[in-house]
Amino acid sequence: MERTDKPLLKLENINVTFPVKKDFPFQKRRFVKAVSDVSLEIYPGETFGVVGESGCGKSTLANTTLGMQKVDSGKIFFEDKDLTVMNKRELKEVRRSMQMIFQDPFSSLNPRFSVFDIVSEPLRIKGGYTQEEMRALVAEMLAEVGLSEGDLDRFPSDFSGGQKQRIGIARALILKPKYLVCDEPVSALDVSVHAQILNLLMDLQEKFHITYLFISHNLAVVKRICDRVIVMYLGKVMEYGNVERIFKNPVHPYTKALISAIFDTDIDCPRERAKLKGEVPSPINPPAGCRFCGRCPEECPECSQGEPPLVEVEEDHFVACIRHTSLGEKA
Amino acid sequence: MNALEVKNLKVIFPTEMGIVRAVEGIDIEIEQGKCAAIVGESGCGKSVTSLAVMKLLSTPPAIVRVDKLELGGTDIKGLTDKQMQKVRGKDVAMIFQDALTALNPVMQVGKQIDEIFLAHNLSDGENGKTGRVNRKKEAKRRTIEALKLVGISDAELRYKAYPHQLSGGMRQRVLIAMAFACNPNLIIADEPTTALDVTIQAQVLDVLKDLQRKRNTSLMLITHDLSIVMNMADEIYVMYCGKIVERGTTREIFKDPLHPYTMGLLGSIARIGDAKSRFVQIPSSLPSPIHKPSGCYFHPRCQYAGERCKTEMPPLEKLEGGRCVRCWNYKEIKNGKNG
Repeated sequence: MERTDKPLLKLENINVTFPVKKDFPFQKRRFVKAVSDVSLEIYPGETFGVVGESGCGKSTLANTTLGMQKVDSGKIFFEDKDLTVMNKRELKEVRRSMQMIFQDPFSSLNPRFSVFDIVSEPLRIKGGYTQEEMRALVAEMLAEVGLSEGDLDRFPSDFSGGQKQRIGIARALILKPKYLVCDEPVSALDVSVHAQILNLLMDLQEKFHITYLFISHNLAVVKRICDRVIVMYLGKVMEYGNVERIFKNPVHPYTKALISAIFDTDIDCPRERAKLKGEVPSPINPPAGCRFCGRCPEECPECSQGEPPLVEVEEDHFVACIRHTSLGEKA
Repeated sequence: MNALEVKNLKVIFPTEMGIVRAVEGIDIEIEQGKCAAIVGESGCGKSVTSLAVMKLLSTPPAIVRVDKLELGGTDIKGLTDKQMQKVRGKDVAMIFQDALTALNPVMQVGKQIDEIFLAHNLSDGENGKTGRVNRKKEAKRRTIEALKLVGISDAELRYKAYPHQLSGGMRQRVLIAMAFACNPNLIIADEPTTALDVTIQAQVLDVLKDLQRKRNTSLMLITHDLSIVMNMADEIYVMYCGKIVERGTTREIFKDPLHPYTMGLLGSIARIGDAKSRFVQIPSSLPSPIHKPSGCYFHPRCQYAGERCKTEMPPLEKLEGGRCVRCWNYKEIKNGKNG
């Protein structure tokens, strides 16, 4: 199926590096390549997953899509407008339709603000609302996320983790954004509350037609709620495309390892797990060639010769591995 | 003989806000060589249980009452702190969640493992020699052996490393090496892999499982992650608000959960085979530990709750084969599901 709709958000060859503190004076400056040469397209109404181990650049990538992270090179298009060339005022304008919810609801809400203050802050920044209008809008939004009007004047400390996350969601949605970044929205919460928040996010998406960028390290959750996904390793895209296709037929050895590293909870069919050797190397000196060299079970001498290009193996399924033809057949 | 037997353990914390009944009379039995998992959410009392078993809770503030506390048949209920020190590390050891805080940051990791051998006089010469220098040498030899056992390469080199020089997975391996050092009967692992990445988590758990099987050690695994439990545990205790609500073998719990809370927990985890869909959810959130609900603690969140659930706490009913469940309506719920 060829996509006819235009992408809501498009990244083109994004590179982001951070300077590293010097160990001693006169040392050559070193950089961490947090995101290197990432291109992707996010379509309206879909949930786009970003997975990878810690330090692989997931959060940097998310910040980049919001124009919050200065990029070294590359272009970010949001509804065909390039964020990288905008000035502060224009950015502020665009950001009204892009919002974010954070991992830790305990630290992302100001403890001295009442719920009304927190949720109405975006309205106040936008301006043009009277106090009564704001109160009505906030109350309406609170009802959408499963809180009540009576909670308006309470403070974050009165709420449980799940409810705080709901406040965070209400704040993000009050301006009716088109695009919402969810950076590990449930990992700080209790297990029994995970399902509530994920269900709420799915319901709100359907109701308000929001596009999600969903960061998670839990592949099973990503599989369950995302439409398309990007698998990152040390700042590079390893595999990218339709969730169903990637999980059914993972081609890149890293994706295979990630999928098999999740413990399954189906007691009747225990799966054989492919184990990865070693740990994630330092992003300051990533391995030459394919970044996955050194941990890859399918490594061959050519792998360290150069960075593998992203190749389309089937429709909406891209892989960066030079051995994709042979590996794909085996799978 | 059971590696661990706990009868009617109660832990209370008096606070300014009120009395927190963290653990309300729980029984645990772990057979030698088996792995029992205690599953529950934060604040359900699972970590407090493990600390109480190790007698690591400081009293005051905590008030601990227990009818029976036996490690491999020996009673440790009445032991003093001094006597407990001889037991900890040798008969029962603990693996903590955060390796970076569990290890001493200004001491080489090898030296930290040496300490266990030295403290329990286990390095007294196999070769007949005693004396401080020889004991230290022997301890170092054993430490390096222990490090190799948990899959740390270049163990001689790593012996001299400080905790910050090791990666998260390595540090957790060091803790595992430390726990297994004196070959204890029972190891308590409190969320051993929560701080790690998925691929590393799989590696570390494999090491743990492997050693546990080889040494026939009993393991008490404390976690909130049901997917780990299925791959590690033989038996599962589900805790909610300081009480055990269900107990059974791993197969029983996963195939045929009886308590509504267990069903909710199982329904809320994503499986890799799932298509895009909504989750089964448990409504509302955990009650405050100071003001627990009347009757069954789970009734405000339970879709099957009846009148009786609101007023009376159900007993932990024993079914055949060691299976237990704390619910008034489990039979009706089960029949309803099948019918």
